[in-house]
Amino acid sequence: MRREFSQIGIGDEIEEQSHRPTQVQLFRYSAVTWNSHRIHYDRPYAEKEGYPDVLVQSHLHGAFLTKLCTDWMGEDGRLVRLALRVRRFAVPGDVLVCRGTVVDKAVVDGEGRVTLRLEEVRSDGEVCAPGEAVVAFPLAET
Amino acid sequence: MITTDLFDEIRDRIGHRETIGLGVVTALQIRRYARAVGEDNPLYHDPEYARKRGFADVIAPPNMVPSIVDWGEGDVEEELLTDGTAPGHLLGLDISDVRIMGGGEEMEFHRPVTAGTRLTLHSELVDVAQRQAKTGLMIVLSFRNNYRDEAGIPLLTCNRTVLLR
Repeated sequence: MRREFSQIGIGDEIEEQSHRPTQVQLFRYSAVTWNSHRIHYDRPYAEKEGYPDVLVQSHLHGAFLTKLCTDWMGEDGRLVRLALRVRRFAVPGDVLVCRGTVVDKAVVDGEGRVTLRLEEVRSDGEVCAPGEAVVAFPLAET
Repeated sequence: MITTDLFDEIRDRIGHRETIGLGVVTALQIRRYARAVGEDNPLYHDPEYARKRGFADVIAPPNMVPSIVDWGEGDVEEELLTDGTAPGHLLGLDISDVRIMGGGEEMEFHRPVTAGTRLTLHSELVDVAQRQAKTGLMIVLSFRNNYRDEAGIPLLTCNRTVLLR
């Protein structure tokens, strides 16, 4: 898939993606990142900390927003920057919908740069992770 | 418990820099990470495809590198804290009775991280602040983490906020 800088408009919404993390996914994510924090795999421990279940890792929230951007940008895009903050927790079974909107376009150092405003929203409408990304595209040859 | 003594101790460490060799990023590590996230992009799975796109091997999903909590084997289990995390991994301070939380990240991706790259992390404590939260005093730490390859070429910068409470 290729996406052209000239075809992108401010206000465009990018195709949303949804994820429904499972305990297995959280386990594999903790394993591969060698994250031994019990909050992600030990439910009685998570309950003792006041949560209803084990928590989605903050970097997994980040991975979902990363995927949103890299799938949207296609082969010619390059993710330059991604900023995010995890404001609300999520647990297995929550549906997390990732959305993005083009909020700016500019030509910087001979390439096209698109700024996206991002959010990952929980089933109850709460924003788990707001974010912002910059994606660079080559300019069409003239 | 957050005390003003702890805050003062941390403030004395502003500008503190550490250089840590992280080892080699492997193709299997990348494929497993991508699998765990649900990424099916062939750039992360298929070396042939990655070569056609101009890379030496599969590349890591952009936010993989800062997500790895421990690049080595980790501590023996008896030494881990009650919450399962490693003790004293924050500036060598005794913070065993403090809760550490991620407060957000800003990542700049300079170049893709290719399988086979040997990484070095250059970490600096750039700022520290106190904040009064509902639950009591909170300390906000700002780190700048630069990841470089063997030749010293910057691959990724991660500005990371860590909250202590």
